[in-house]
Amino acid sequence: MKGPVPASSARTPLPSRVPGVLGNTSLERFDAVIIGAGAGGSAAARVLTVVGGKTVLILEHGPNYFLGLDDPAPDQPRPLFSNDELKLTIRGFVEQDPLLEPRTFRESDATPAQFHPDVNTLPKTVGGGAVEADMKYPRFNRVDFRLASALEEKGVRYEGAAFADWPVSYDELEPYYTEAERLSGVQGLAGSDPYASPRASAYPMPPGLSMYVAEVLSSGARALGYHPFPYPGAQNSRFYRGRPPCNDCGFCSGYGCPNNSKGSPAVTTLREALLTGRCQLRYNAHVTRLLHDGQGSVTGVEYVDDRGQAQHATGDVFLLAASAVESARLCLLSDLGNESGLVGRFLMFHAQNIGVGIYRQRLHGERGRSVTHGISDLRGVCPGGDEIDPSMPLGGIVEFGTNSGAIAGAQAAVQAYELARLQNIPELTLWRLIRANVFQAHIAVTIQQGEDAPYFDNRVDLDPQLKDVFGQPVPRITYRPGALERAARQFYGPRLVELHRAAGAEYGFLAPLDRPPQSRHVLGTLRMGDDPRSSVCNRWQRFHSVENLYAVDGSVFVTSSGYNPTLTIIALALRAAAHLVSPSSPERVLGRD
Amino acid sequence: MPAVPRKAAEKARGISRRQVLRWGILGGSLALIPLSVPGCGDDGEAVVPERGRELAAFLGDDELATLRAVIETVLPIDGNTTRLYDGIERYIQRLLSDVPSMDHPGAIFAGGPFSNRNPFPDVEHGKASDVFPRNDFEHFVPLTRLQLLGWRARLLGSETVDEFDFNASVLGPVVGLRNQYRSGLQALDELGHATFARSFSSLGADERQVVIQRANPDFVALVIGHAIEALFSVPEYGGNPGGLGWQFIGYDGDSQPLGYAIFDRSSNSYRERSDKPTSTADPNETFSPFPAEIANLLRLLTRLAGSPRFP
Ligand SMILES: Cc1cc2nc3c(=O)[nH]c(=O)nc-3n(C[C@H](O)[C@H](O)[C@H](O)COP(=O)(O)OP(=O)(O)OC[C@H]3O[C@@H](n4cnc5c(N)ncnc54)[C@H](O)[C@@H]3O)c2cc1C
Repeated sequence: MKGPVPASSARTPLPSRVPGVLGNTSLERFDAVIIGAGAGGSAAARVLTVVGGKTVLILEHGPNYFLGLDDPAPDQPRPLFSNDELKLTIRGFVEQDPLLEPRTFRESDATPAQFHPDVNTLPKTVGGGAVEADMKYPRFNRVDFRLASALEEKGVRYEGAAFADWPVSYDELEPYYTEAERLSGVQGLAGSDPYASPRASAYPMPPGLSMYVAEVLSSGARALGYHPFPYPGAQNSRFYRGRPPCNDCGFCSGYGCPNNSKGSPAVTTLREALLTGRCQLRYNAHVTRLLHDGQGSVTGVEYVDDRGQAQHATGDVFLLAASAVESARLCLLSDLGNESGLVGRFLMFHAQNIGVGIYRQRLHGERGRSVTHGISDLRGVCPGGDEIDPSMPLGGIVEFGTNSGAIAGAQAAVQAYELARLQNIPELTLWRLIRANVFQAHIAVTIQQGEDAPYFDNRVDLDPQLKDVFGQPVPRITYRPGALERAARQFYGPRLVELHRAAGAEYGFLAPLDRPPQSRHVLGTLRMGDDPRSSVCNRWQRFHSVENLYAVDGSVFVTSSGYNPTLTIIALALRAAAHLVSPSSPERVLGRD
Repeated sequence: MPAVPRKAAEKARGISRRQVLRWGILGGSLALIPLSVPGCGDDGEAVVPERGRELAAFLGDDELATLRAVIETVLPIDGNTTRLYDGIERYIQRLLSDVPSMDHPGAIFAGGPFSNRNPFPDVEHGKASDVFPRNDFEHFVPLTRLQLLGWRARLLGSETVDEFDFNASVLGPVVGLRNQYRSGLQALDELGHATFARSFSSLGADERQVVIQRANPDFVALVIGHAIEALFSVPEYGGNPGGLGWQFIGYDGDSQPLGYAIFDRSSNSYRERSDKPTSTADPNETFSPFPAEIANLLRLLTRLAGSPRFP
């Protein structure tokens, strides 16, 4: 790569008029090629272009629903997202289509993998999965980055779990967390979560309004001696970096934001990269293979464009940011970077345990940001986040949530009615049940994002039978909960239910485990570490065995922690890109507009 | 040798992935309820559309009459509900008729960001303004090449879509919704004739119930699923006229661009709407107990969920 050029661009670039391409369409030579315009890819693109002065090509599988994303005018971009449950959550506006790109699932090597319509897919669109996230953006704890050592010090073992320390510490990552919060626009209240690790600065914005369901559950939590706090989230609570305050429209988790107040990667890091004039984004462009010279160097990528034509692109360095499953799959499809035999291994989600409460009163989950409060008391760490708490299993943050969808609520009513018919409950008609709207208006959930340990056998590889629409083998997911996850469910399950009782619910129970798990937190598969025998990428997220290939998405995670992962994905991607731009002093790139 | 038996795979391909995912987002909270699978599984002939006729109404008058009778039977709605039933019928007819193509978006994804149902906020004064956006929902979003492949296969059947045979040998074909409706409605009429010597729509309510009990449960589930979508989706898809479905369940529907938290620039803080507060119970909330039949059901669900549970 060439040396940095000045960060200020000479003139304001014009928005692209070329279909399928955003940013500077005249660029033909690229310092870096990024695969995937999601959380990690967009963050890396921002550092490389805005601060590093590099030219960047981004290839993104999904469509672009932010019209004018590369137009510097202040009223841009104009999203095509909307408060439309049918479009977003039923018909899958930005979802991977299981007819075109199926996946298979099995619990162990002993059972055949089966097609399943939803195996932990993340939305595929410009901005990536987090476009649909409600953007709960907490940090990990300090102890997370040295978890193997911390467990050993306390003599805690979980059968089969391959915990390791990260090659980066919390203190090293702290400035990048700050930068990720600044760029994404995170609201929160420093000091309100007693288990959070120390932070050097306040959150960029104070918390917005709380949701009623959060108030109800918080009162229950306090009665049990827990410490509810406003959940850190990348939704503006002020005018911030050209975007308006969130108006709590209610359609947050599972929906793109109609007014850009949600700090999704598209409207933050990616847009800033596109506005430099040094970035070109080709969307509806699906990368099928990385080409390499067989001696540890990637030479280019093959992709299929929006008309179905095979294309080729090249640059000096390549950054995989297609999300944990797809990045690992691309390596396997390209026969690349797998000297350790670990590509695809240690796949982690979050071990989600969910307490359900049904309340007399309407909780109006259709107002607010999906989740505004939670507790860390069931995380399994000591206050301050420096040590694990050996008196309980590793657990996770608990979100106070509910349901905003009328169709979802009515569909649940239909399913419940089927059960009721078998039991012959007199007077109950389907319409009466639908009208009561129990499963939309009266339901609250305590969702624990529990630590999911890395296990060697939990992994993604290539399915021997099924193909995607591009003719390539699809991902096969092998996953089952292990010793930690079983112990955690046993320990935390009753507590998640008890919280509803303390909050005044009429009914409470623990939701059964989903198979495959429904978590959208998809991590591991290209684990980072210092030893090439036990990791795929190094501490700067470069492949040990490929000199010009990096992974900058959720794939590099060593452990899953018990917090929502995306802020950490972004912080790590910023750090990796900063190191690319300025190897001797990567922190130099921080805080630059 | 296919790892998945063909029949089972066809069923699986019929499940809307979102039906599964949605509960993941909510939190998997109702995974205890066995999924009824609206889906394919019938081996009827694919309906191959004639060129240029895709946009004409797909279901004929007789089929519509049967469909209406099915909806009235599987989802009896109390009160004066003609408009709700009309909406469900219109929604299904539109889904089946308005097929997307290269130069036509069809009726798959309504536009955005705003409908014209709510005003913009007035952030200078922290209240609603009297300026309303134009209705973007009416302008449907064109589909990408991949979306077209998927949706045409869903609607017309995979045999009619070039490039769609890549997994057919393992998973079997995707049976299109058009075909599912045409053969499902026809089968009901045949059942009506076989049982009561009359078409389904001309049967009385009790006779219809008898026939429905014998009908293909996948088809019944398909119709109920679409009826629910129609009743509670944004009105631009054809169901839920004027938000009537939402009114029945006390639901606001889309709230943008006003939302519920109105920023007030002068105080640099939020104001809640007094009619629809964010952080407190509604002013008219009664906290009254559930009616007995609902309470019975909830007790049943809780019991089935096992422990831990209460009461
Ligand atoms: C409904 C929902 C709610 C969520 N809520 C939260 C939350 O509150 N907090 C949180 O931290 N996380 C949340 N998440 C998870 C969050 O979205 C992910 O953690 C995050 O997006 C992962 O970032 P990534 O960079 O690894 O991949 P992604 O953001 O998924 O980006 C990968 C991109 O690569 C593209 N791509 C894939 N394959 C190819 C290919 N072959 N060629 C070209 N491009 C390709 C994809 O289309 C995608 O755009 C949520 C997710 C969902 C779906």
